[in-house]
Amino acid sequence: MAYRWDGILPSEETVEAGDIMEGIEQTEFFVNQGMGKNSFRAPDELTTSEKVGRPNHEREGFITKKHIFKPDFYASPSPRMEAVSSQVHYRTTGQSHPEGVVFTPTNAGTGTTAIPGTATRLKLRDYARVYFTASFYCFEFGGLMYPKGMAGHGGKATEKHQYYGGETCFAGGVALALHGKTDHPYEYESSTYRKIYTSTLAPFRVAIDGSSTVIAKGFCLLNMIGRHQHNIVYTTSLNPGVYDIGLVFKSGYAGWVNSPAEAFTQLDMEGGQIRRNKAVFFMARNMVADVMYTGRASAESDLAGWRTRNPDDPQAI
Amino acid sequence: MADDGFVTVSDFREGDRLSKDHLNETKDSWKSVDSEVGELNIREEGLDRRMFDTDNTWNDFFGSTSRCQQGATIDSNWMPLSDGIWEPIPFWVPSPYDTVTGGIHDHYARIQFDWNPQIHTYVIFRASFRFRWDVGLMGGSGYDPGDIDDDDNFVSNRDKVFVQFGIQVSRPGGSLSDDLHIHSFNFTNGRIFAPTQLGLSYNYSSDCTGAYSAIGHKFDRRTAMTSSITMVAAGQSWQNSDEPLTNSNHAIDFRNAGPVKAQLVWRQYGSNSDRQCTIDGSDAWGRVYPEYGNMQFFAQTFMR
Repeated sequence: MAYRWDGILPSEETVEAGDIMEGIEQTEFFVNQGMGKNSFRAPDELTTSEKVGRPNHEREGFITKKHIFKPDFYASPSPRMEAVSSQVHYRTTGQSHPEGVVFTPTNAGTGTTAIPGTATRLKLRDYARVYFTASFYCFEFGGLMYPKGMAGHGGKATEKHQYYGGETCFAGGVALALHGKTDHPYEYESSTYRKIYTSTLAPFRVAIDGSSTVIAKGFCLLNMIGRHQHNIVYTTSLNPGVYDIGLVFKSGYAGWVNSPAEAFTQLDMEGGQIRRNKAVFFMARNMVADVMYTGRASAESDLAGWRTRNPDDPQAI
Repeated sequence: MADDGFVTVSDFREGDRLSKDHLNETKDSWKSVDSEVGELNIREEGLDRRMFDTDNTWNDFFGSTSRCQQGATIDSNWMPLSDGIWEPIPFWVPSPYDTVTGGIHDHYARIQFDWNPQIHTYVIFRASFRFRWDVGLMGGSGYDPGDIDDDDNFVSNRDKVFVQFGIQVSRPGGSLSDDLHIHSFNFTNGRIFAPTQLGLSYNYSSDCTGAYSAIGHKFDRRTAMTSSITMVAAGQSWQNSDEPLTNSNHAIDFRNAGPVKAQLVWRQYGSNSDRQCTIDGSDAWGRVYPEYGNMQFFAQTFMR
């Protein structure tokens, strides 16, 4: 790595064709493959005024943004930026109801389902570090839970129940899922798990003026305290390959509240059943997957084997 | 001769005599370029991904001590939580035994990395975990048995309860025992950043407004409280007229070099005895211990 032609020595009296060819060959070698790290000049030292506010910076690098190959931007359906040393995937979805998604045990089952607008596919040619950030507004609506305070005299709660009340009844779980072709076989990453609770409380029956009646004329109380913005952050290292990454939701089992004993609804509802957990809404969803390459992958040793690693799919990709 | 990385070839003209000096001057020009390749020699947008082929360029510099995680749920009824005193949040479970992965401590969300302003410009700390605290029955609240004929006899003895969380970040080369206070305009030496709070007002389940026997008929709104606790803090190594001022805008001042430690901390408002109380005439606990876990905490750096 360097320019290695010594030129024509003073002891030589004539210039020969071989001398010129050696010079041309060494020049060719230098231009094509001879420039190494020692070929670059040292960065300029900062002047005293330039060091103001950055006392530990000694030199200013000379490679600037204009020298780097510009990133490629891709729009829908998979908006992302792919650059020299990283790729960034991003999604944003508004908070309006038409943009929201809803899961119920009835229409989505209780299996793990991807949440639209929070997932993407990473195609990694090299080793990478992934920093994932997501936020979303989420709440349950329609299920019913007993209040913490029930029964009593004069409409006042005297029976108090620790395991009832708002933010107590489980409606479902949200987490980050990361699946490679054979890597990361987990259903989701447990360090990102979030619980969603139901938010509607049943009225309760009390004795008023000598007769049993239902508080609040039998209307349920939607206290809205169960509506939250949730956040999930995650980081991991990935080998070269293709990965699906994003948020998933898993509805809680569709339990039922039996009415008669606790008598929490209108009298003519006695004997009926009301769902304990129902529709979970996801609104205002945002996701960023920041992928920073950490090392060059070898096409043979790192990628060739991976292309046929799936025993169920022998076709190389 | 070369000048700032450019080659100057001798001017060969037809009919002129070719001498050794002509060729050696050209050689010298090439040779002088060898240590002077700079920004002018690099084509705009000429550095593509193939040029960055070493781990030194793309390195995940901070390594595994700069991040930690925990995937279990913690029922903290075995764990002390002091009143008003900041302390690290335990993220381990004794049974079944589960500890924090990564970082520098098995029990706490605590990370460390070496900071060098010559290389690093920005760092972002990100932390997120889930937290649930059932304080719905804490304190007496409901009807006044001595005044049952009064339509407006609701009494509320609920206590104000809340928990605060934060990211404590040491100075480069400093210790986590330094200045365990929230960083603020009034206390710029504080090393706790991104404070957040979760709590309930003691008036929350107080009397409702509205007509008698309508919705305002003393409905009790006792509840637990849950949240994603998410905190983000950022530091930087430089400061000039184009950058935020580290002295006044509360960006973490990382202008000096040295090992940096960070951990998640919390404190509660209320005394220890309040964490559990019995309700008259009930076998329920008034206040139960927090349930939390499923934690990610890491630092992401941006090199110069």
